[in-house]
Amino acid sequence: MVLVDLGTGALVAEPEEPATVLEPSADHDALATAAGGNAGPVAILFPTFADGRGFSLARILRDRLGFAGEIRAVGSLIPDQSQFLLRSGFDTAEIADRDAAETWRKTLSLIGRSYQPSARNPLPLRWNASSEAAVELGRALAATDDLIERIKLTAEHIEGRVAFSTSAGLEDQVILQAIAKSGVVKAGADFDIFTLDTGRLFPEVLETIELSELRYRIRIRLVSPDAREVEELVSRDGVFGFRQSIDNRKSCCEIRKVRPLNRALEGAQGWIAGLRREQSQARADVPMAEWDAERGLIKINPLADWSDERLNDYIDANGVVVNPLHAQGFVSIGCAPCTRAIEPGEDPRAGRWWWESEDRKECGLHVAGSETSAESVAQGEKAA
Amino acid sequence: MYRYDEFDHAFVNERVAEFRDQVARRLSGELTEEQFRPLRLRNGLYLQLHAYMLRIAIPYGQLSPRQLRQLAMIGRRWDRGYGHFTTRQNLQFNWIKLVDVPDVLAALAEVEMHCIQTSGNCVRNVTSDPYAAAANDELEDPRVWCEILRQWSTLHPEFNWLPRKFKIAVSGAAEDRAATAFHDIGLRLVRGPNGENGFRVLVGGGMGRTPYVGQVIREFLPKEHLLSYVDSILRVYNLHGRRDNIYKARIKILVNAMGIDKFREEVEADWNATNKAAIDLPEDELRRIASYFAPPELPEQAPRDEALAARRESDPRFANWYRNNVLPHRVPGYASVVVSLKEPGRTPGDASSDAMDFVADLAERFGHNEVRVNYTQNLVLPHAALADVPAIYDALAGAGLATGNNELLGDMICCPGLDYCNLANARSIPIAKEIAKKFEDPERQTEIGKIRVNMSGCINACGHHHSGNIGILGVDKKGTELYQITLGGSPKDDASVGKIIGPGFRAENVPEAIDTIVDTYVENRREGENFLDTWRRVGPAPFKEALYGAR
Amino acid sequence: MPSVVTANRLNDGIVVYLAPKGAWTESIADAARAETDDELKVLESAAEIAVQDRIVVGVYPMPIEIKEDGTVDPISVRERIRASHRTTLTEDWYDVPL
Repeated sequence: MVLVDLGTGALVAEPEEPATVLEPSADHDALATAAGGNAGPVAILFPTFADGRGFSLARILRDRLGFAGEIRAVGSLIPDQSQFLLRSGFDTAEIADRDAAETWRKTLSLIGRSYQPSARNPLPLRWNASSEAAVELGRALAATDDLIERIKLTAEHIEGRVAFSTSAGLEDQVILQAIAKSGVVKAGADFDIFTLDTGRLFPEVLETIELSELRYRIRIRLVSPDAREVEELVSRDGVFGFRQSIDNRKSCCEIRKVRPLNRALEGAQGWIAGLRREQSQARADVPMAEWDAERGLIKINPLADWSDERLNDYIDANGVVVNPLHAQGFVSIGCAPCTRAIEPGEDPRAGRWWWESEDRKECGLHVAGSETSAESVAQGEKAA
Repeated sequence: MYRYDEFDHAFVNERVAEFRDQVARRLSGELTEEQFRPLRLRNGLYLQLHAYMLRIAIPYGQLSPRQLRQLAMIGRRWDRGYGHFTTRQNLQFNWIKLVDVPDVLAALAEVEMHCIQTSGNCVRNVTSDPYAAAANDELEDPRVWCEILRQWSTLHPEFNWLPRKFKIAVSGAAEDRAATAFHDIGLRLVRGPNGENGFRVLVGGGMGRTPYVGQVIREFLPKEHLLSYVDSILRVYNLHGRRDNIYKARIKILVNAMGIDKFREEVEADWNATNKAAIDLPEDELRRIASYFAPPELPEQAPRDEALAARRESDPRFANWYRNNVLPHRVPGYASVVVSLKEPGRTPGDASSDAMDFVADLAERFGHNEVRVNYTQNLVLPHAALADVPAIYDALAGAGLATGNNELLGDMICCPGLDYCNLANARSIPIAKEIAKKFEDPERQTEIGKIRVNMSGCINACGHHHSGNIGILGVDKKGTELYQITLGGSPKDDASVGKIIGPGFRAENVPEAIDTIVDTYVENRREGENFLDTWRRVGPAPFKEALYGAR
Repeated sequence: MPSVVTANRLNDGIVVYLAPKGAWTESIADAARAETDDELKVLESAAEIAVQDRIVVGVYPMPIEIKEDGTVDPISVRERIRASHRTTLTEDWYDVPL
């Protein structure tokens, strides 16, 4: 079996057997059963490439039944359908042989924009208009050096709710203060400021949050994971199960951070985060504003171009409330069991999941690749 | 008119690049003809009888002079200097080379045009009233909704591999000039219970092998839900339409097999389960699109022009043309002018590159830069000042484009037939020409009055024969072309499918048969009746008697 | 019934006929004729190779009539129109007996 990942165009190394294979004539009950199954891939059969029923089935699975697992297209398909598949909600497609893989990969990048909503783009017509809006906001942000001005620009450019997820780290504390100082919330902007309370936070983090609330007169919401999911996780993997394998660690992050975050971001039009290019190799290209197609919002990194030095100077000069852990050598602070202090000169994220290798250290909140960044859209246009 | 922004430009250019790649893969052997066919069809490229044919979408039949000139250029450079306007407001070139198609598409993209989904089992070009924003009986401009549907249906991820092709028409006026009842979905803008506009939605209309008049699936749909409702109709069709038999795959078959009530139930159930907000157009995007369709500034003028009146008195040919080809406009002192592509002896709907350039010039000089294509295969200058009408006439007359037969017998709708088309069973163009010759006398046509004569060269009914007051269908009977005649069809608000009047006629006898039918009508009609009135009153007997009585 | 093999050229779609020695011609007069089923099979397999070589598409055999003077006429109206390569803008086009 040769399987193409429609998101990346790459071949899937070790494809799982599908849990269900749906005929194109599958009725609603069959779909509901498949969607409720235990998370194995659901395959949808295309008897001929011209039989387009499978596209509707995938869309019902995704949009109506909320199926979040892998949807796989199997049967007779042609590479020129790759984007239709992807946008209808398929993740993978079974292809005839390895030789065809290159064509599949190529067709996935041929048309980079679409007019209508789809499983990938929850916005109405011309979602790329939003992507262009991200480019525009990115330009506007880059044009000013003043952080408070950047917050104001964000409030102006984004009509709906703007989410700000703070971890109470240095960057987030700087942004939080800037939001408070900018007065945008008082002026009526819809800002939703929250922390992901994973249940394993350092007490110092919670202290910092409370102090900030008092100092800046601003409310910070605590977003909790689904209690049932946490219980199931812990009973399956154990209290510190995340130390046993990367997969375990990732499902822990998924349940305690990623899903609560996604719930909190639902319906938001913008999402402010404290990513900086200097933080790590993986974040070296972080744009000031980018279109997150998966979540259907613009992600803003107002500190993207700030150096460590600038950050520290700003904190000193403006009396930003900081987490006392920083003084003990903690730099990037996540959950307590998965964060340690680092030595001077170590990579700032070296203290996270220190038992894992460098290139995998993302919790999943800020994964690049599936997103259409402002830069990649701009490059795509040039290439076309 | 709608102007492409960066998004549309980039999108169409990407599509050209994609097709360039597909053509290259076909020529290199990476794609077989079987694999390539659906891809080229989605770009309007057919392999016809003599050569490849390229069908270019003219969304809701609207063209700017710049676009029309580019079409003329394409005709000269890559074809044989002429094109054919179709009953779906498209333009077809008949002699395009496969290797040139990517360049042709690139030339089209330069003027914001494309061939996307002009064929294939997907949502086709959305058609509309050629007099939109000009007619004096209009409730709301239908083009805005056509454009919204165009964007929404373009490369729709879910609905690009339907059981069969899918045609949508929108009309916003009191009179249906878009034949909405003969479309897979017909949309009529109507006034709702609270005085707001919405859509009456028809579904399952169509011609072809099994003609049906569309049935009402929803009497009133709030405008803002158009996309989500159409989405649900298409989903029910995509999942349940027949795929085992190409002749039974259109939505009309599904609607009639299920019954309209059951079909409606399915659609409404799907619609109720739909997250409408995710599909329907947000207010500001609707406003953005609508803003492109602001009608031109037309300062009100005197409703009567003396020079024009005098010309009508003194020049009977002009008077005849004026009576038929100049239509009332919503703004006093203006008119819509029909540019006839129905000169006797010419192929109905054909226009040379020179003619296209010529009409483009006229639209710039007199027509506020707009040209429309009517599904009856004529061109229209929708906004002309009455005072300019004589000058427009003189110009058109010099170019053979001022035949004053709009909506008369000479204004026949005619498909390309066996002279071009791979599907055709019989020729239609030469028959149309012979009929035109028979009725060449304008006085006779005036005496007959408005009448719709439509002809198709095969059962697929591109010439809309089912909806002709007189319909002619070419069939192949044991190697000979034979022509069946149907009477009593109508594409308008009283939409109906014509009935076969009797045995078919050989080609050379068709003009005579039409003559007999027309005479029978004229003899039987009462004061104020049109063909349909008379037909519905007297029934087929006198026509049968006249046609076959002697046998 | 005598037959020829016809197709459309891949590059430009123009109607062509299989000629002797595997060549393709726009003129039906130059087409290779098959008098028997076996001869037709030979032509068809040559045409199949041309399909694979991407020279032509849509190959099919077509019955013809060989007239007394040795010239060839297609039997059906459709094929007579194809063989004539005609456009409706040709002035005399419907005066041609079809």
